[in-house]
Amino acid sequence: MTATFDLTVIGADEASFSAAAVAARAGASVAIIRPRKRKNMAASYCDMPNFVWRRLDLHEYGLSLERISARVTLGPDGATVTTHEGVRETKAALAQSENADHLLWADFVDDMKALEAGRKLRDAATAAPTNGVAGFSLFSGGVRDCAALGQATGSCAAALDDYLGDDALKTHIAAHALGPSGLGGGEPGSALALSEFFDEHAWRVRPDEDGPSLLSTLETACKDSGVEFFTKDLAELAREGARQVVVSLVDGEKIKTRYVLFASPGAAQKAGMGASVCPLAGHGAATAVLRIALKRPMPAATPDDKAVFQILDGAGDLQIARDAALDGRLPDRLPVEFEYAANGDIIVRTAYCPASFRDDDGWREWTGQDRQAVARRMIDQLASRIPEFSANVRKTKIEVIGAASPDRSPVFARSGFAGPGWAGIENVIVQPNRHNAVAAAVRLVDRILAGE
Amino acid sequence: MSDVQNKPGGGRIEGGIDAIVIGADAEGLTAAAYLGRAGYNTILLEAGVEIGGAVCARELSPGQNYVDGEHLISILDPAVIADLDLYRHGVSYAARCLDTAYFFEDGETLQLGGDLQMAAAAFDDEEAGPAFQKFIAEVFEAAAFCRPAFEAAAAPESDIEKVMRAAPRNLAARLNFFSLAPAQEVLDAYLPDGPLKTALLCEAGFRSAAAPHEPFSFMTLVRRWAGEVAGLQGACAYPQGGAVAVVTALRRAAQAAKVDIRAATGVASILIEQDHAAGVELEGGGQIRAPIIVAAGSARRVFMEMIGAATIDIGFQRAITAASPQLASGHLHLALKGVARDEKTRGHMSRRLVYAPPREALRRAFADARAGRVPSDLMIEAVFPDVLDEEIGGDGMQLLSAIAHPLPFDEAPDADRRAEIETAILANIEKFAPDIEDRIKARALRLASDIAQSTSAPAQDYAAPSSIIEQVALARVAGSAGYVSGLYFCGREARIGAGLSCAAGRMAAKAALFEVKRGGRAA
Amino acid sequence: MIFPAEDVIVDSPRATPLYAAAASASEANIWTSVNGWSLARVFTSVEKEYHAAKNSAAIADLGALSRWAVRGREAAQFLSRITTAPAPRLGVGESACGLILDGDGGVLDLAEVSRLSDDLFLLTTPTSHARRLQLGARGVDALGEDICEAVAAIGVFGPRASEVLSAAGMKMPGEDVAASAVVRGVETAARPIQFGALPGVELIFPAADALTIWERLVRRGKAGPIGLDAMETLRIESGAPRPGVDFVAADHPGTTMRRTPAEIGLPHLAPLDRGWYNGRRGLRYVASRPERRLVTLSVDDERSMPGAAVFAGGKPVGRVTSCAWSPAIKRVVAFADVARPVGAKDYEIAVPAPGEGRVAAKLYETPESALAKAFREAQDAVSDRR
Repeated sequence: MTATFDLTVIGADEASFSAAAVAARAGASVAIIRPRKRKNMAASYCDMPNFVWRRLDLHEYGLSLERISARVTLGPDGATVTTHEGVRETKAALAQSENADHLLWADFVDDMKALEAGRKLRDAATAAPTNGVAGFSLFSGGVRDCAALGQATGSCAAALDDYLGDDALKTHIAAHALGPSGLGGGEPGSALALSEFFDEHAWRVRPDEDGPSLLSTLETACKDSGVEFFTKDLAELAREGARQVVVSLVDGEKIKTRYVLFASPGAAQKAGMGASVCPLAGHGAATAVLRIALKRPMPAATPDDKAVFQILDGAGDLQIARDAALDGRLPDRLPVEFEYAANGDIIVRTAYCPASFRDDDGWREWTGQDRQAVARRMIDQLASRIPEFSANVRKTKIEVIGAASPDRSPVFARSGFAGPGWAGIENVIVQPNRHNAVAAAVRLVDRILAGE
Repeated sequence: MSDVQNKPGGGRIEGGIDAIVIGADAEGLTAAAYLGRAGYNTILLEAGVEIGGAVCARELSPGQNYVDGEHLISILDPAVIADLDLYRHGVSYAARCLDTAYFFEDGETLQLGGDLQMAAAAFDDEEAGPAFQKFIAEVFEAAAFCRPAFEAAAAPESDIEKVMRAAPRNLAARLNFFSLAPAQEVLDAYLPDGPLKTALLCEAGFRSAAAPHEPFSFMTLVRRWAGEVAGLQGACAYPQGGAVAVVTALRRAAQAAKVDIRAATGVASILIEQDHAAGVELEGGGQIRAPIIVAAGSARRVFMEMIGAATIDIGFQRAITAASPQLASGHLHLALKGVARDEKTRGHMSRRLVYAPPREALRRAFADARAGRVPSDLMIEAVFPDVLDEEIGGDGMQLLSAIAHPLPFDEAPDADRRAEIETAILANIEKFAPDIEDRIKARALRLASDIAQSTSAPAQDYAAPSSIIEQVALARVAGSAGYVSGLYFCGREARIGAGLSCAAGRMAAKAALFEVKRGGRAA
Repeated sequence: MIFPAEDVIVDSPRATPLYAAAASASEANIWTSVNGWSLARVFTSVEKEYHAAKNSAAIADLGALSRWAVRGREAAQFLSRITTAPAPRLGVGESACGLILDGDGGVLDLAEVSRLSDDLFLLTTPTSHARRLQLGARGVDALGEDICEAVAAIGVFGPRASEVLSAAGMKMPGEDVAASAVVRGVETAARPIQFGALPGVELIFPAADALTIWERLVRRGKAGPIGLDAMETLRIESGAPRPGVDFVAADHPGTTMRRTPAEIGLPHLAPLDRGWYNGRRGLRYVASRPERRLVTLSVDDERSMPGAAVFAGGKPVGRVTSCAWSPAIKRVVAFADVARPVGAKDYEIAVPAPGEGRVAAKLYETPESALAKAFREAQDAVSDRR
C-alpha cells in the first residue's frame, strides 16, 4: 500500500518545516521526508517573518527569537566593516568610520530591495505552476523594467561597483550576500543574491538561549498540523503519469505525491540533488560546517557574540575560491563565515568546497583527509584574524553537505527523467532563496496550492 | 524655441533630406536600404573611408585576401534577404549547409551534418541518438518560438509579450528552463556524457561572455539556432566571396534604393530640437537636417558623444554604460603553403572545423580569460575559405580563418600579449591540424581592438556579448533611443547574439516607417 | 522649500544643530521627525505661531531638508539635468524652484537651486537623492557634496523678516539675490525664499555656530519659533504640494501613483520649452491632457480630513490628501487628488460620522495654482496660434 500526499517536502531545515506546516494547515495532505537525524550545526536561522509566525501560531509554543546583532566582516590587517539591520543605524556607523559611501547606503538598499526583476527571475526559476508563461514575463515590460532586468542578470561585482566606492564595504556586502550560496562575485546572475540579501526578511534570527530551538518548535508545529514524517534518506524520484511523482526511500518504501518541494537550496543539496540544484542559487560546490569547542572563552577580539562574521581579504577572492571549488580544488584563501553557538562554541561555515576533488588521476570523492584539511584551513582562517586562536581549540567536529560522487548527482542519475532536470518536471520544485528561505518557501507553497 | 543654436558659420545647411543613417556597417546599410526602398530621400554617413564596418576584405599576403570580422553566416535575418532582394544583389552561397567536424582533446572526432534535424535522426548511437533527436526537436521548437524576441527587441512598441503568451504550457516551462539554466545543466538533462555533449557545450559557449556552466548561458545556443540559412534552421553557410559578399549586396541594395552613401563623413553631433531628432552636425562643419535619424555604432558613441551625457536621461545612461566587457573572441587568418598533407584534415577541409575542449578545460578557460589570463585551452571554429569557395585562393596557397574563444578582453594589447594569444590559438589549431605552424606563410591576428581600430570605434564594441537575457534587456532599453523621437538605434546594443544579423537595422527602419505612417512625424 | 512627509517609524531621530534651542523653546513639547531629524510640531500654539508668521516674523529650523553643494565647470548643466530648474540662467545669488523627474516624466521630488557663485550652486530638496546625483554626475564635470551634516539652516518668515535680520546684525538679501555676510565671525549665506506666500529668508551657516545665530535672532530680532504644524497651514494656503503626502515619488517601491508635474498642479515648474532636463522627453510621451490633478479646495466644514472621498457631479473622483484650517479665510483649505474631469469647479467632500454626508467644496485659488493657471493659459494661447 502506497501512501498518497498532495505535497511532499524533502528536508529538515526551518524552511522545510514551515512550508510543510503552512501547507498542512491550509488543508493539504503533507509528508516530510527528512534525512536521518544529524546534530544541528547552525546557530542562527533565516528570519521567521511575522506572517508565517502568525499562521503557525508560534507564540503558543513558548518560542522567542532575537535578531542577530550585526553582520561583520573581518578584513586583512584588523580592518572590520559592520552593518546592521536598520538602514539608518548602518548609515550612521558608516558615517562614523568616515566611509564616503554612507550617503548612498539608503539609496543602495532601497534599490536592491526594489529590484523587482530579481524576484521575477527567482520566481521563474522555481518552475512552480503559474498561469501561463513565467519565463517570458522577463522579456516583456517597459524600458525601465528591462534596465532592471539587465542589472539583475548581471554580476554582483558590477552592481556593487556601480553604486559604491569603498572596497572594504564592497567586500563586506559581497561576503555576506554571496557567502551562504558559495557564489563568485563575477558570475552572471550573482546580482540576484544581492537583491535577495536586502529582501525584507533576509536578516537572520537566533533562538533565545534558554528557550526551545526554532527547529524543534517547527517540528512540533508540523506534527500538530498533521504532517506525516518519514525519517529516511531519499533514494529516487520518478514520474508516474503526467501529474504524479513517486518518491522512493532507501528502504524501498514509496510515496505518491502531486508535488515535491525542496524548500531551500540547502535542503536540495542535502538530499543529494548536487549539481542540479536550482541554477540561480549556486551549484556544483559543497558546504562544510565546523563546530569548534574552545578551551577558554573567546578573548575580547570579537566581543559581539550575536553577530555573524565573515573572513575575507577582498571581494575578488570569492570568485577565485568559486573557480577553485568548481575545479575540484580547495581554495587557498577560503572565505569562511562564523558565529557563536549558545554554549560558546564557534560554528564555522564555508560554501566554497568542491563537490568532489580532482587530482592528476581525475575526479575522486571526499576522503577523511580532505575533511581534516578543510577543518584545518577553516581554523587557519580564524587564526589569521583572532590572536592565539589555534592554541585555544579544544575539539572540532566537521560536516560536509553536498559532497557528490564524481559522476554527478546520485538522485538524478537514477531518477530516470528523460526531460530537463528541475524544470521539465513541473511538480518537482526547488525554492532558490537562501537568505530569506522561510518567507519564500511559504509564499511558494501558497502559489502551489493556489495553482491546484 | 530650439535647444541648439543654428550656427551656419560652420558650413552649409543641407535640407530636403528625409532620413539620415549614421554608420555604414551591415545594420546601417540595411536600415538605409529599407528607408530608401520606401521612397525616402536617405543619406548614409560613414565616418571611416570603408563601407561595411567590421566585415570587409583585407590583404593577408599579396594576392591573397581574407574576410575580416565574420567568416560564416548563421543568424542573418531571412526577412532582410527577401525584402532587399539580396540574392539579386549578389548573395549566393558557396556552401549552403556546412557540415561540422568536431575535434576533441583525446583525438576523437565527431561529424554532424549541417541539417541538424537530419543529423540527429541519423545519429549512430543507441543511447545518444534518440536523446539527441529529442533535444534538437525541443530546442528548435523553442528557438523558432523565441525568434521574434531576438529580432524585435530593439523595437520599443513590439508585441513580444503577446506572442510569448501564446506559448502552450509545456513549451512555456521549457522556455523558462532554457532561458535561465546554464547550458551545462540543460545538456546534462538531455544527453548522456560523450563527445556529442562536449561539442554542444562548446557551441553554447562560443563567442559569448556567458560561460556554459553559468546561469542564462543556454540561451546563447537557442539564439544561434533561432537563425536560419537558406530556409534551414540552425545551419551555417559560407557565401560566395565570404561574409563580405553580404555587405556588398546590402550596399548594392542601398544604392539601388537611391541611398546617398557618403564615406569619410563623420557625425559630430545629433541635433535635437524640442526632443525630436532634427538632423546632424558633421565633423567637418555643416549640418544636414532630416526628421528621421537611424544610428548604428555603439550606444556610448551615439548617446554619450553625439548627444552628450548632459542631455540624455540619467537612467538610460546608466543602463547603456553599465557593462564593462571582460571577454572577447580572437580571429586568426593564416595563409598556408602547399596543400594539406594529412588525409584526415584534408577530408574535413570542406567543413566547419571546431575544436571542442573538455568541460573542465572550458570552465577554466572562461575563468582564466575573465581574470585577464590567456587560457591554454580555447574553442576554435575554423574554415578553409578557398576549399569552400573556388574563386578565392590561388597558386598552391591555402587560407584558414579561425575564431578562438574565450580570450581576455584588452583595450589595447601590447606585442607580448598578442604573441601570447597567437601562440595559444595556434596551439589549439594544432590539435586538429598538426604541424600547421611550419606551413604558415602569412598571418593576421585580429583582436577586438584591431577590428575596432579599423572601424574607428572603441574596442569594447567588439567584445564578446553578454548573456542573451542581458542583451535582450539592454536592446529594449537602447531601442527606446532615450525617448528622442525620430531617432532610431540599431547599433551594437540593439543586436542580440554574435554574428551578422541585420535584424536590428531592419527593425529600426521599420519602426521609423511605422511612426511616419502613424502620422507622428511627416517626412 | 517644503518638508517631506514625516517619518513613518521614528526610531531615535537625530538632533539637528538647532535642537537644543528648539527644545528649550518648545513649551508644547510635541515632536516628530523628518528624514530622521527631530523636528518640533508645535512650540506654543499653532494659531499663535501662524499669526506671528503672518503679521510679524517667525523662525524655523530647516535643518531636516537635504542640501547639496554642487561645484564644477558644468555644475549648471548638471543641475539642469537633475532638476527642472533653469540653473544655467541663474545669475549669482539667484534661486529657482523646480522638480526632480524620472526618465518617464514622473515626479520624484521638489527641488530648489541657488547659484552662490559662478561655479558653486546649492541644491535643496525635501528628501535626499544621493544615488541620482551620483549617476547624474557621470560624464559631466560637476561634483555634489552633501552638506546636511555640516550646516545649520534657519528660515525667517513674515513681514518683519528684514527687521529681524538687521536687528540681529545681518544683511537682508535683495528681492531675489542672495547675500552673504560675516556675523560675529560666523560666515552666513542668506537667500530669499518663499514660504506659504510669505516672503522669507533662509540663513545657512556652519553647524557649530547654530545656537549663536538662533539666539541672536530670538534676543535681538524678537522672532518666535514656528513649528511644523503652523508651517503646514501656511503651506496648504500657498498651494504647495508636499512630497509623500500630496503625491508619492514615482520611484517609491510598489507605488501605482505615478504623477506628472501637471498632475500635481505644478506644470509651470517643468515647461517643455525650457532647456533640457531629465524626464522632459518622457513627459512628451505622457498624455498631454493630465488624467488627474491635485487641486486646492476650500471647504465649509471643519471635520474634513485627509483620505476623505471627493465627489464631482455626484461621482467619486478622488480623495483629500492634506488639509488645514486656515485662519486667514476662516475655512478649511484642502489638497485633493482628483480624476477627470480635471476642469470641474464644484466638488463635494465626504464627511465622517457623526453628521455623515457631503459638504460643498470650491476650488480655491492659491498663489501656486494661480501660477499654474497662468502657465496653462499661456500654453493654450501658444497652441491656439499654431
